Parts: sequence; structure tokens; C-alpha cells
Amino acid sequence: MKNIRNFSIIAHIDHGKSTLSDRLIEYCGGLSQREMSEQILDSMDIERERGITIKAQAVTLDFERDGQTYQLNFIDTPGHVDFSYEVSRSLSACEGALLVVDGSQGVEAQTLANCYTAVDQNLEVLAVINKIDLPQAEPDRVKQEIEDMIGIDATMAPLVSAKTGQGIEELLDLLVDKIPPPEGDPNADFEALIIDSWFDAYLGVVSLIKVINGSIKEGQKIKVFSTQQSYLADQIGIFSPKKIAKKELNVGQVGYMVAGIKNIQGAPVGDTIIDSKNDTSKPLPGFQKVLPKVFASLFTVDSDEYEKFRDALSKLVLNDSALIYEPEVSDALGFGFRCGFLGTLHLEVVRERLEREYDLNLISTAPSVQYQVVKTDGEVLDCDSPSQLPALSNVNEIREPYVLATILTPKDYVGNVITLCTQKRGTQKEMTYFGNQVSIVFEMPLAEVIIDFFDRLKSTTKGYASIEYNITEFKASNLIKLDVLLNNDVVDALSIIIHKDFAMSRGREVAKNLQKLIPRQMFDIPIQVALGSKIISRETVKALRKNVTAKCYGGDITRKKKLLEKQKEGKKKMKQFGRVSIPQEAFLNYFNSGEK
Amino acid sequence: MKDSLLNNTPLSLYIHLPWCETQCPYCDFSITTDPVNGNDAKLAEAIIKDISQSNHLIAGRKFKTVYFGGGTPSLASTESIKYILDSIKDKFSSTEIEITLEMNPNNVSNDKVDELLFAGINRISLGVQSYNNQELQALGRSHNKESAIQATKALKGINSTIDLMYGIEKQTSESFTKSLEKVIQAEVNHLSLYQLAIEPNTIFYKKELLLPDEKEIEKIERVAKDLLEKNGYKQYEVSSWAKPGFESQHNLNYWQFGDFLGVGPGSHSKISNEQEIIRYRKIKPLEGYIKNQRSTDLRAICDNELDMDLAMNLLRIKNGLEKKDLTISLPESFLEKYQKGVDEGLLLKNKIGATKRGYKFLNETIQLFF
Repeated sequence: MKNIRNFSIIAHIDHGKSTLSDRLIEYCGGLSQREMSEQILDSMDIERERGITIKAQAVTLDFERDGQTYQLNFIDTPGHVDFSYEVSRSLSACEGALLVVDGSQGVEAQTLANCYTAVDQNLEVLAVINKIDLPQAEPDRVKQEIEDMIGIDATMAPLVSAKTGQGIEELLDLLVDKIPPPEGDPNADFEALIIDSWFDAYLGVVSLIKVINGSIKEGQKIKVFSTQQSYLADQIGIFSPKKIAKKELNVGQVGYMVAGIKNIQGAPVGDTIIDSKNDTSKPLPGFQKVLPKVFASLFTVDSDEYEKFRDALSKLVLNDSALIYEPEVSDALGFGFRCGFLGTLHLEVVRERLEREYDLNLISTAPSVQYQVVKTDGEVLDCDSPSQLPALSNVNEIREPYVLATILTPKDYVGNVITLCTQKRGTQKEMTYFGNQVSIVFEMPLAEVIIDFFDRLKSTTKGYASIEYNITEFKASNLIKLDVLLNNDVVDALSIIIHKDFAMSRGREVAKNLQKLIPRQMFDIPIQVALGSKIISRETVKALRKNVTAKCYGGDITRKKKLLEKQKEGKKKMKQFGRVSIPQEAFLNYFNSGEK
Repeated sequence: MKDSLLNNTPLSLYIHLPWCETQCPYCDFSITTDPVNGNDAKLAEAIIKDISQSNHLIAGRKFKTVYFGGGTPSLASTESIKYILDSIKDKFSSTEIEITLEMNPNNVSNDKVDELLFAGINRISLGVQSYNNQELQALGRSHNKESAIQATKALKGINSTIDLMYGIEKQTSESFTKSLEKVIQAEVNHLSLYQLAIEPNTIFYKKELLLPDEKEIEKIERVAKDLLEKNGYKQYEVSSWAKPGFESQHNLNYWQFGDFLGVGPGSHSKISNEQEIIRYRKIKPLEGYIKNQRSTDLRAICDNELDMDLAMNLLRIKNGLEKKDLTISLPESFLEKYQKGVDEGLLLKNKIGATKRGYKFLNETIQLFF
């Protein structure tokens, strides 16, 4: 046990966490050269393409030093704000964490938040300066920043380049020396914590577990504490990152367990596993359950695909316990699901996975937050969709969730950030200078954060600013519902709840956006934005004047046919609303403000 | 299928002569800018061989029309054209069938026309495109206004058709009207009037063009309609106008879904027999075709595709076709889709054809069958 080290890597997106993991795996011989493919741990297509990590994963590596073999259990964590709950979960299985900071950029808000979590959980945090091979790297400035902002000693921080492999050995030495081995009693009753569970089509539920006390043997009869259900631990083992079966997992070790559990609710994340005969034990402290922050409805473009969609969702949640959904019917779009997500990135990821892995064409409504509606009779409703909003005459007050957002930005962009946050109904709470970096704390409505805030923050700060936020409270707000009428009919799926002060300007933007996003058709399409029965903005998609190709080729119609087939294919990806065809991107982008 | 079996589908012959002096920036046809250099005789030989090897496809039928297209067929020697026609005369359905040849205005002289008529050509298609020098230059054409007028005059009294284009860069309805008036003055009995389309694989495709806007195009189309109708021309297809009785028999055969045998490099064929309808094309390289008249891309039209092909051709005919005039019995699936179009007001109820609205949005209408 004294040779075990359980650690995580905390890093902002693009600061090189996945590349660093690859180098560590390579150095310890976890995979042969042939098996190395870039960014091994990011196994989903979307993770690789977007360069982000969504699910936590674990790898056990053997590191030889001075004739001793150290077992390094590395638990990879997501770096995006939407997935911060995965981070705190992964951290609780560790005794230490590597804080990886890009030597050319410095500390970012998300890193800061995760780092505080690690410090709170009593982890040994080691700073590592990465991307030292870049000519613009400034290790000394970044070290100073780490000390100023996080308060940990960075003088010893190893300078590494995950890209070239420079400094990796030094990093491993430091890791072994500084991160303490896990504590726990090898002779006590078996107790393990479920760090993560996912569904494998062949094995059923696979759980990533950390043995806290005692040990588990292959074939042992175990019990999941919360459900009191017993299972046979058919397979146990470690990831190297290939799955390697073991006869036994001992105290302090992190590995996998397959126990014939059929659905993911059977092995909830944060639950405790004990021996089936043990009925006296108290559970280990688990994790706080995450609640969705962002809501949107998903519909299939082709209404015949509803069944397929329902099937796909039920499979997807097997691997994504943070996603919640319930059936919904829209007058305009038919049958679909109202879904709750951790954030807008989570929404995008889920939509993309459904489309890609399950071959669906989906339409998503504008993301919304959950409001509290106080009715005139005193009843308080939770309302996460414009369609759930009761008639305004029955509403006493609408409250919306507020967040405390911490934004880190280079000082040159402070003005831009403040302007943006103020436009987004934010109130400045704090501002602290750390050398070149500034930390600004704003209180703002969550609804303003989830709609085109990240993109505008990035562009107004040339990509340098980062944000971290937490919901603090619900506050009464002057909110109203905007309806959109296409061809004189209300499309319920396009309604949005917004602050009254913005109704006029957003109404104009929405109408203008839709005019650009809806292709011209055989007839004029009036677009109207209404506040109650009052039309506040209108635009028209002018009818096509004609659509006919005058040319005929000497009998060769193949090219023309291909062209028309392509047009038809494009049309299939549009939702038919009465006579009007609305493309997917109209639903995705109509609510964004034109400002960048 | 044996040659002796009767095939009632009308059959046309398309002969592709690929030479051009220059590559036009809007053209995506199978052409070569190599000089003819005596290859016309060799190609004529290959074409005759190709036709004689196609007996099983001709299946005892006679050609209702012959069309020399290109490229610029007028670049080939009259001897080679006469040689081809002489060799296949026995395959014509009558001595009076329509035999068209495309010409570039630069190649038109009284002598050349006389030679061609003697060779057996009885209809000339003149690729004028415009009578405005600035527009001709924008199109990269090798002829100019003077040679176009000269050529038009030389064809007076001869059964001929003129190709005219609109939507050319910097074109206005005024400049177009002037061109159209020249066509009318020449008293040709047929006009192919089509809008410049920017096709992939053309020089224009990669360029930023300042094309006339939608309103100007509409104005041009209105002027064309008024002027042509006033002078006795009638539109019978999307891009075809004719004086009564002078409709292009060859093109009508395409649109009525007749068969066509294509010979020459890169030419397309459509042949039906009792079991199926096949499409194929000849290989494109001239040298290769001269050596071996290989077919390629051969495929049978499957059910759904047949609906599309039918729609793409039949619905181009203005005012529709009487059901009794159809040479093919329409499949059930086609008729089902057709009914949907009738319901939407895009297709005619008692004939096979598009309504005024369906014709205006023909691309949308056709997509009902995809």
C-alpha cells in the first residue's frame, strides 16, 4: 500500500492534460508504441474532436524507481465548467493532484475552482508548468501567478513539455515523493467507493471503484449499500489503460468491477460497496447529487423517428447520469423530450452524441433555466420551459436563478468583460488583481450566462478569459415571454422567456435572425415576434421568384439529378411546420444576439 | 433480348463531336481543345463502328432524329459528317427525319452551309448566345457581334435554331432585348433561350461574378415572353421556343422519355427493353474512343429513380402531355407522387404536366418524385 499513489490532473481545457496523460502512460509502458494513439483517454469521438474530456477515466501505471515498483493510479478528469461535478468526484478518490498550467498562458478560472476543491478535500496539490517548449512560455511569471492566486508553493514546480516528453521523469519522481500513499486498513471489512459507472453493451454496468478498506476478490459476493442488492463480482481488475483482470484489488487501489448489474441506477456514483454479509457498516461519505442547470427540448426532425429517439435516450442515460429527461408534446414540433443538462456544452455534447451514435436528426429548442413562478394563489411552481409558464394574470412573481461568476482575464480586457457582464444584467461584486491577471466576480442571472455568453466572453477577450460559476439564489425578476409566429401561427418551440427591458431589442434580433436562417420558399413567410397579443417586431422571408433550371444537357441528366437529390436531402433535415420548412440551425441560432 | 423482338419506344441518335477552339468558362461538357488534325475521319469511322455494334440496343428500330452536338461539330470536316450520315441512312425511319448540327457563328459561311445541306443536315443550331460584344467577351466566346449577324444572315431561309443566353455578367434587359430583336429579324423558327447557370467544374465556378440580380432576370424573362409571343413563337419547354410546327423533334424525344443512342466520346444513352431501362455513357478521351468505343457507368434505372427521371423529363414540357401521347406507361409509384403534386396545386389534373405555379418552381415540383 505504501507504493500506491492515487492522483488526478487538474487543468484548463487546452492546457495539455490529455497529452500529459499520454506521455505518462507511454513513459510507464502502459501501452506499446503501436497502441499509442493520440489522447488515449479521450475515447469518445466527440471528446477527441473537441479536445475535451467528458467522462472521468482511470489508468493504473507501474513506475520503477530504486528497485521499487510504484503503482500510480491516475484518474483523468474533465476540464470544462459543465462537468465540474465529475471533477470533485474523481478528486475524492485521490490523495494528490497535479495542477497543470500552460506555461504560456497562466492560471484560468476553472483551474482555480477545481484546485480549491482539491485543497478542500485535503489533497496534496503539486504545480506543474506545461508547454515549456513554446517560445512564449514564461515559467517564472506563471509560478508567481500560481502562488498569488492559489497560495501553493510553486518554486519546485517541474517544467515539462508533454509534447516533447521533457521533464516527465522529474515529474514522476516528485509525484512519488510528495503525494502520500492512501490510508486505510487492509485487515478491516471490505469497503469501496463507486467513483463512476458506465454501461458497456457486452458487460453491463462497469464501475470504477476505489478500495477504501480491506480488499475485494474475484467472485466475491458484494452488496451495493443504497439498494442493499447483492451481486457477484465476476470480474475485477485495473486499466493500464487496457483492461487487465486481477484476482484481487487491495486497499488503496483503484480499479474496475463488473458484477452483472443491469442498469446504471444499480450502481450509483458515490455509493458504497461492501461484502454481502456485512450489514453493520455505515456508508462512506458520497457525493452531492448534481442538478441540471439548463433545460431544452429535443425533437426529431422526422416525427416517425420518435421511438428510435426514445430508445437512444434511454441508452444514452446509461452512461450519463447527469442527463434527465421526460416526454413533452409541442404543438409545433410534435412528440419530444424535455431534457435537463449541466450546461450548454453538455447540451451540445448530448445532442451530438444522439445524432452521431444513434443516427438521429434532432432539433433543440432555446436553452432555458429553471424559474420559480409564484402564482396569485401563493402556489410556487418550478418552470423550466416557456410553455409551462402560466397565464400572466395568474402570476404574482417570477424568480430566476442567479449565479456568482468568477471571471479571470488579462488586465487589458477588464473593460470589455465588465461591459459584457453589465449588458448581461450583472452586478459587479469583487475585483482582484494578480499581476497581469484580474479576477472579477459578478452576480448575474443564469439565463444570461447560458445564452451566447461564453462565445462573446471569448471573443471580447481574444480567447483569454475563463469563467467559473455557481448558482447562489433565486431572485424576483421582471420576466416576460416572447412568442414567435411563422406564417401567422405561433411556434411554441420558439418561445423564449426574457427580461422585459430586453424584450424590444431581442424581439428585433430574433426576427432578423430567423429571416436569415429560414431559406426562401415558394411563398412569403411572415415572421412576427409577439409580447402577449402585441406584435413587437416583424420581418418577411421573401418568396423565391422562381426555381427552375433552364438548361438541358444532351440527354445527360445525372448532374442535375445529383443537385436536386442534394437539395432534397437538405430539405429532409428541415422541420416541416405547416407549409414552412425550418432548418435545424434556425432552432439552434435564432436566439443568439448578433453581437460578437 | 433478341433483336427481332419489337421495341416500340421511339429512338433518337445523338452524335458527339468534341472539338472546340477554346474552352468556354461556363461549359462543363465533354470537349477537347486539341486541333481536329485529321482525327475527324478516324472518329467518324469509330462512330459508324459504334452504331453497328449497338444493334442489340437498337433492337430493329429506326432513328426518328439525328443530332450532331458538341463541342463544336462545325469544326469537323463536312466529309466526315457526310460519311457518317451516308453509312447509317438505312437506319433512318424516313428520308425526312430531322438531322440537326450545332455550329459556331465563326464557322458559318454560305459555302459551308450548302455543303452541310448536301451532306444531309437539314437543321442548324447556331450558338450565338448574345449579339453584344461585351457580353460575348464575358462569356469567353470566340465570335463577336459581326460574325453572329453574318452567320444569322447566312442561315436565312434554312430550318434553324439559335441559342441565346441571359443572366450574363453586366447584361441588362435593354441589352438582352437588342439581342432578341436580332433573332426575330433573322426569322429563325426556333430559339433555345436559357439562363447562364454556374456549374461546378467550370472556370466560372471559381470566379466572383457580378451577375444581374433577380429583378433584372425577371424583367428579361418578361421581355422575352412578350416579344416572342408577339412574333409568333410559343414556349413548349422550359428553354425552348418555336413557331408552330418547328418544335425540335430530337429534344422532344428526350422530354417525352424516348430512347436515345449516344455515340462519340462522353455521350450518354438511354435504352429501354421489355425488362428494364438502362443508362450508360461512352468513355470520354477521344483517342481512347477512337480505338475502342467502350461503354461505362452502365446501370439499370431502379424503381424510385425511374419516377425521378420521368419527372425530370416529362414535366419540362409546357402545358403538359395528354396521357394518350405517352410512350411509356407510368408506374403506380409515379402516379401516387403525382397525385400529391396535384393536391398541392403544382401539377395538372387531366394531363401529365406542371401547373403555372409548378412550372415556375419546377425544381421543387420535380423533388416530389425524389
